[in-house]
Amino acid sequence: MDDDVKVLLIEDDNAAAEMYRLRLIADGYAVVVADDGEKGLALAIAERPDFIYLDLRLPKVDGFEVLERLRANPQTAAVPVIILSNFGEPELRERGLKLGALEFLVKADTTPSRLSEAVSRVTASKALPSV
Amino acid sequence: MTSPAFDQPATVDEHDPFFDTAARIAADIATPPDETSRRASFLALSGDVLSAVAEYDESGETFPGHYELSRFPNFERAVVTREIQVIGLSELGNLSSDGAALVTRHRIRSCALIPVVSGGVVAGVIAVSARDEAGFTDSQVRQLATLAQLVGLRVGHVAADQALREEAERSQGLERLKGEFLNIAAHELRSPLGIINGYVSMLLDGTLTGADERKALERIAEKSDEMGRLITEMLETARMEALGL
Repeated sequence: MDDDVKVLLIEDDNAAAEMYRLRLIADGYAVVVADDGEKGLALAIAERPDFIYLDLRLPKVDGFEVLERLRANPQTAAVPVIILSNFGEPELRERGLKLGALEFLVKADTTPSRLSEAVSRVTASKALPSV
Repeated sequence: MTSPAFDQPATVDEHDPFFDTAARIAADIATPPDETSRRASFLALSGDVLSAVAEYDESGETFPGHYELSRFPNFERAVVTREIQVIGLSELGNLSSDGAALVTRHRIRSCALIPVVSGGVVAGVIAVSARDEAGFTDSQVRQLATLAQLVGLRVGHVAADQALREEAERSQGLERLKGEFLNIAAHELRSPLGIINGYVSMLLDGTLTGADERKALERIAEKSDEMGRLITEMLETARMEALGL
């Protein structure tokens, strides 16, 4: 059932991206990885992901700007975004949520299974109204 | 006590009202009964220039405010010898051209220059000038010398205060740096730890098999090494800071 759910992972830390990718694939999702903000924006349009994980500290275009631009573009405005940050400061959390992120996860506290659960949670709640 | 602040003239705070009061008291001390008030000023020494910090002059006349020692030998003598210079009527003929011009313009008949010493260094000069012809009595000069000592103490006190404040600010800055360092260190350590935890959790719950399992173990080893290196670096930084480097 998850075969058609595509997740875009915008993450410059290769080790973290690879780890989360393995888990998401194991859970049956298709995964696309972008290692900077610019590529992330391009892939968000080209790959039409159902779901985006977004790191904040990114080369070229930082996570907050990526989020703003995703929201400003009608093609990507509705895609659910979860922030995946190294830093959990309340100011960052508040800013991310205000910009429209669904959740704010701190990497050190986010095991791959917790991350993957977030996708199923969001996709399940999205699917509900149409049932 | 030798504090760096005292190795050169302490910076005199020109807005310190203490010096205005001191100038007024100097004028009071130096004015003979029944004469109009004499003019008194406190000039702070900075390099080779004496600059007016406080002036008291009932006539309201404006003086230059800055005196290069090389152009005013009497000021220079007061600074170099640290001895009070009293220039009376008889000496007025021997002034430098700049001194003579000043004295003529302001109708000065005599003056007393009292060096102000603070922390073993000349910080400035109290200058009193008279337009009357009564000269300076020994008693006036003695009292002016006492006043100069008070002014010197004030300069030293303010400088010591300033040095203390700067020291406090420095150590506060250090504390803040230490806090930032710990914060960054924690973040740096958490990121490899997160990877290790993540892979371990996937190995434990059986998500990874075969080649992926091997890759996970390699990642864990790599990230453990990274944490070890970070900890060594942090300890080294902490050690250098403890040594004050």
